[in-house]
Amino acid sequence: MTFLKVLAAELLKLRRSKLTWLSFAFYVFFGLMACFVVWMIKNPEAARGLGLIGAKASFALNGLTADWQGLFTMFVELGVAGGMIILSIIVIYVFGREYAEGTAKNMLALPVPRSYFVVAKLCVIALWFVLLTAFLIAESLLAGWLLGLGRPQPALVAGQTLDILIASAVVLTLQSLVAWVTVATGSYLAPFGYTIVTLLIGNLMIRTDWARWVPWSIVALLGGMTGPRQEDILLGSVLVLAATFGLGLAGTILHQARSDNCQ
Amino acid sequence: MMTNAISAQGLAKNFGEVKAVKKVDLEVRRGEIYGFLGRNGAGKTTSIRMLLGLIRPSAGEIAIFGESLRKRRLAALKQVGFLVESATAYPNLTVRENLELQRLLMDAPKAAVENAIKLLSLEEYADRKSAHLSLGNKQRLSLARALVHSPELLVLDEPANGLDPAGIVEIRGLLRKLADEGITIFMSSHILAEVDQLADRIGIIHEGSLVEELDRKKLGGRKRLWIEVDVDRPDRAESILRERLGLRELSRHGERGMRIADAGAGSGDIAQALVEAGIRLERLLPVEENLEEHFMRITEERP
Repeated sequence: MTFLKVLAAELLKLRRSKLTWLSFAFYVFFGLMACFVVWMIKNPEAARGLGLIGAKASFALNGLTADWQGLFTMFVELGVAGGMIILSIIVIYVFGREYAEGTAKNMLALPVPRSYFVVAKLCVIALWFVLLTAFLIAESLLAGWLLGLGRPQPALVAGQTLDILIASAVVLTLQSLVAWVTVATGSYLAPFGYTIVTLLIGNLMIRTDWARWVPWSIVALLGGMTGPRQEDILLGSVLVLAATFGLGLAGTILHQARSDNCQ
Repeated sequence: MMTNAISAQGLAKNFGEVKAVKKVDLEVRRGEIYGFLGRNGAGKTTSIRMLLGLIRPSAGEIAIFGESLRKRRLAALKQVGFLVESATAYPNLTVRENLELQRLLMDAPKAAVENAIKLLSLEEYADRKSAHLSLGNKQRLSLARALVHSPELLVLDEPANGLDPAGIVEIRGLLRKLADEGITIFMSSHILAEVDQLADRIGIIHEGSLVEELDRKKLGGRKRLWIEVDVDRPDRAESILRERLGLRELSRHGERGMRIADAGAGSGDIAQALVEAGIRLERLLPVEENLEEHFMRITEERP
């Protein structure tokens, strides 16, 4: 019962928060970008006529095609690449605002297990991301309809929905480490720097044989950000992601429970 | 035997080489208002944070209503309302929503929010976002938050911070009323006149050590009495008082005044000695040092 009250309190904290609307606005922007790219593939002459692409340019972006498959591939990539950045910003905001707004001391001195706050915040973030993901799926269907791609195959829609959900779940597993960096530094800047560095590491390591063992590369492999999307992720990679999530969660809880709050 | 509201033994906190709090023993009885005084950096806020479990002591034990804060933090803090340093709230939420948040987390009845709003005269601002409140009203909101669950102990760090004079008087009245209802209040304040008027007992912390505890009933005995005199020839008067009465604690005070702190001589002795020496006595006034002067003396005497 107490945990549900903490969860309700964490949801209440987001009321009138500008970031909730901004995150959806970012996803609208991502969708428009995807639509724009598919439109250019579909109408290369019109795009050339508008000066949007060079006369000799061609679209060889991971073999993208102007059909439902191509559109869905773009949206999965957006779900991973955009999701990693947007979700990190959400995590940094949800955990970091307590320090930026000076409310951490009010929260941590309450007779409530501190682990409840960490888990409740992660639940709220997960819920937020689920809504964003659902929005992204709906947006992809709307985009296909607006681009006149015809009726999609139900199996294709189901497959793409599953892909986006898996990609989103994988992105979520990396966020507990962002939460740990946020509470450990009590700032917005350090975890944002951490996010940028891990994105770079992920993109560098993806070209090596170690990619399946580096959490930030596994996400990129799944999202097909640097080549054809990898479907056959090893069990070892899944364990790496689970361990990453566990480490971040334990670190965040232990930090909240044991460190001094001198804010 | 009834347990104390707060009981701290050998409380210490080191930040690396810095000893912020050094073996403080503190007993706050149920129902009393305890004023906790100290200069900036004396260890007040660190002590308050330790009492609320925000900082882990390097040594010592804290019990709140008999419950060990180290072993049973949740039980110990259940009856505590608090305000630590600056007043803070979630800026995107209204006054009412901020209090609702606290009500949820403290499992208080629904009516508690409206009661707290009324108690702190926040009705006019109840639906205003806390980001748009003045500093004084933010302070009221923080006090309301501390009171939402009707705690038995209030730990308040600078409760009058940001309030205007009328607000200070109002909060003073509220704290006195709460104390009369049996709520224990542990408060720190830079406004010594406030503490002087409110506190039943006063603790002075200096450089991490609790250097003095004053009981209001016995405060007169601990405070120093001065005698201030104005004379026409202060140099001559000073030598007369030193030679004839053997007074040592004399200080010059303006062009014609002297302040005499020796308890060895009464006003009559001083007046007689000066008149007999042909010195014109223009003013002789026994003065009791106020809390501010007492605080300054205690903290200045200890390097």
